[in-house]
Amino acid sequence: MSGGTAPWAVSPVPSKARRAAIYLLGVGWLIFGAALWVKLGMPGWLSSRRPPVMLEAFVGETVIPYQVESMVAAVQTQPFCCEVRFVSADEAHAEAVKDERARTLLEAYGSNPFLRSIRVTLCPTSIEAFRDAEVWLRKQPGVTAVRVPEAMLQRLIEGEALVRSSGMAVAIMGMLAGLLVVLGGLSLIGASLEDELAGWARLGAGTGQMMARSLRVCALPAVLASVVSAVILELAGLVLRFSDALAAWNIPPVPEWPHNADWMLLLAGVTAGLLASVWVVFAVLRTRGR
Amino acid sequence: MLQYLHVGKKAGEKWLFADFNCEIRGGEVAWLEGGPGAGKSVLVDMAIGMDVPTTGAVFVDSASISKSGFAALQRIRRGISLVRDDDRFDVISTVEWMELGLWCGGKNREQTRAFAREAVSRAGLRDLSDVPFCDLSGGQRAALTLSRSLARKPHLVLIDWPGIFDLNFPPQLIVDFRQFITEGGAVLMTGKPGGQLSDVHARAVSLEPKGESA
Repeated sequence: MSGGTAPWAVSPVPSKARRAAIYLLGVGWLIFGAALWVKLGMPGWLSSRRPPVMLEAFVGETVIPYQVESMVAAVQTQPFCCEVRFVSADEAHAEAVKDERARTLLEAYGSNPFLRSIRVTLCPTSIEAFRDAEVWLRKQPGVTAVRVPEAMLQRLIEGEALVRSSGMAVAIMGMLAGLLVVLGGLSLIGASLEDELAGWARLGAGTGQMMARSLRVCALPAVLASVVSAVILELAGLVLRFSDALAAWNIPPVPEWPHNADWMLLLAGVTAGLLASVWVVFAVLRTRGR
Repeated sequence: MLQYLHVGKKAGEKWLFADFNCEIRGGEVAWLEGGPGAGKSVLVDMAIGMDVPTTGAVFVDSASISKSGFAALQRIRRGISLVRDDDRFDVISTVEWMELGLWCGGKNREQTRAFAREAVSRAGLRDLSDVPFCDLSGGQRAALTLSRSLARKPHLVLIDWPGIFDLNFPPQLIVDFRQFITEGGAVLMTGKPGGQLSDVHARAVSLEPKGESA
């Protein structure tokens, strides 16, 4: 203070509890951030692990090549389409005879039984909308049938739903656990600060002076701890992304660190810190008597 | 200056005291008499709004303490200095402790800096300015607390530190204290003004049922 520090910035009360509380805040925000990682990273992670899903639209014999080209061009403009390829009857036949079991059958059949088709690979993000894609393809002139890998899609969607709901449960529990730890840390700081500010109030300090102190002692550590936690999680995300450690241990790649979680952590830190600061000052203001 | 009107305080089912009446005017020194647990410190706390009476009211400069909002109460508190050995801001240096007390009392930062070192000097502790407050002896803390209470320029000083004037204070501090009284300041203390202040005329205010005595 005499060296130029503002009076509200000095730390007059030695408090091991306050120091321990700052560590608690850091741990709490790390848990909260890890839960955010699961919550926000899960959708992208699931999409990235989806196998390619292909719909096949069979084209009638009367359709002329120009119409097929128009159809391919139209499919390419659809949001569900990631890749489209025209497959002639000969190509389809050539693919089929690569299979030993099918070859015997096809040779016995004699002529080429395959129809021309348009193979559409669905974008990973559009797999849930495969029915819409199927209906759209069916409506195209000249399309006689659409083959959908129904059983595989059903298994995929059900499996993902299970993973998603489990991930969501883990994320919510993690966020609650993190917030509880943060709350514990802020309560420790608040309890010691309340005594300190009661002394300030006895000396005649105004609300602004007490608020400045409360922001310094409560809000600042909460915000700094959330920033440090976000930086640690960012670095952890980078390390996991570029290290082969997970693959060496046969662990599938974890979701990428969602960068918007940085802002959420910061926002949570600011909100928790401000609320705690205001709460402590109000606790002092309403204290009258023993 | 300070008035207790029909003040009573109940602790649980038991009355600490009831119907306590007393008025202390500017330039007066009064000491509260009463045995241990009689409620002397409670009455001192009531004067700065840290405790509320169960019955009656406490007035400082005609303003009811218990009915004042926080902002009004803080304005009143800035005109009052409490001298009590319970300050917990103890790891900061002596001069920082002094600055904090003055700053909370409404002095701006420039005034705070100017007055703090002067107040520490008047307590005779200039050489200990940078020593942590907690490392000072009881007598040194008493001198500092009294010096700070005067540096805040109050009009009412509440002293809840029995036997404080039996300590050997620097003469300048006693001169300052006498000057505060002669300039119209009021003092309420628990315990008699003995030692260096034994010649000061003070009236006793008893917490016994008989009320004030000469």
